[in-house]
Amino acid sequence: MRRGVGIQAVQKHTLQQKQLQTIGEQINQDSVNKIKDQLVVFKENLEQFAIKHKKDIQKNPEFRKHFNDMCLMIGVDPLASGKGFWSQVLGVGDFYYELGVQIIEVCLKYRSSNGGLIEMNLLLEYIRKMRGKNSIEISCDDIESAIGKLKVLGNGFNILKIDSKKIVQSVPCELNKDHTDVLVVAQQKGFTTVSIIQSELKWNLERTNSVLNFLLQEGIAWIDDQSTEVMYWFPSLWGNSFEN
Amino acid sequence: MTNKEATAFQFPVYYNKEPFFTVQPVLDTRKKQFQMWRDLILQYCSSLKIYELDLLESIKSNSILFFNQKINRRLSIESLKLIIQDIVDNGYAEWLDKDKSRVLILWRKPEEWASLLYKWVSDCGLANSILTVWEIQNGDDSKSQEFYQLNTAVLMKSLKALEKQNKAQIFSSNGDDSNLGVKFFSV
Repeated sequence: MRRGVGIQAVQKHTLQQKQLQTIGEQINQDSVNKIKDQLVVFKENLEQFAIKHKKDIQKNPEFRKHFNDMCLMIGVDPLASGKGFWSQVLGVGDFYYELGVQIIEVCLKYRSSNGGLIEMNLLLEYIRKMRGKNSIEISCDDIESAIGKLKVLGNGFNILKIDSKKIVQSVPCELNKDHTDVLVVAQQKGFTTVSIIQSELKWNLERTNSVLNFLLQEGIAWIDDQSTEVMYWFPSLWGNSFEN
Repeated sequence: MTNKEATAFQFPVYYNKEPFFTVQPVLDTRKKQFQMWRDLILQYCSSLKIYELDLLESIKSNSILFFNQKINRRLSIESLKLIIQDIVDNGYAEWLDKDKSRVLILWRKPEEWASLLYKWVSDCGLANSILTVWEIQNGDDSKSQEFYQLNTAVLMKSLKALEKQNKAQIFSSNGDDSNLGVKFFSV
């Protein structure tokens, strides 16, 4: 006789399932707790490490970068707040806050001549000059971190990679791939023309003109009509200051 | 203005950038560009003590200020007119004729000259005495002053500014403009 599927069997099956689930949850909970414990220990060690190497973190930009990376990996953000243990020990909250303000100042100052694009190295040079000789040494990584923090304020700041150059964008206009492609082409000489774009990127005239016009309207490009073909120049790619 | 004199002048970096010599079509960029041109022209004229520019003459003679031989870029006469008009609008220049072919460059505004003059008069104890315009420009007392050999038109504007402040009075000794004198008052 075939054993029918009785109500008891069904009940037994669900019970088993439930028990298995509870055990499963327990094991999960245990391992989560274990990891949490480990993290607590790790955080403690990290804090001790931070206290011990406070000076290096403040003075050595490369060391600071590695430390920040390590912190981010375990979900500690020493830059996020101006209060609390991290900023008390390291003063990093203030450090990046201050740097952020300096970045904004420099970008605004040169916005009208470069259209809001500035090369990372030039920005770094200006900020170093602004901070003076006796302040904490800063690196490009610090600027990137500070810009990351500035993103909280909206989409104003961005870092573009143009070939090997990094360019900080401080205007909220949306640069798409076409725009950055033109910058890549122009990167080497600091200028480009309609025919260079057409031959390098294989675009038709309409697309070329529309992209170049956009860059012109946004103040990113300046034109020069004293050559055989109209040249579009990009002050942000010149590497040195246009203004001084 | 000869190009020889200009070699001592330190041109800004942007003077060596090609698009600087083409008037920019986008308004915001052009504003910035004109401001840069204004700074350059005023600084150049100030360091070489130039008070008057003949626009067409400057262009024709390849004045180094408006023609950068190294990058082979020059300002057109039309562009130069726009730039000078911008300087006039900002109060740092005045057209000398209706055709706008010549311009008086005021790298110091008359009011600024006026206060320099008045300070000099007070410091030298010349208040309440009479000086000729020629003496102010060429006299021994003013040799060390910035306004030594100051352009007559600029000087007259400055003296008129002092007159308005009741600090001086201009008069003519023989009824015409050839021999002008000025009396300074102590206030």
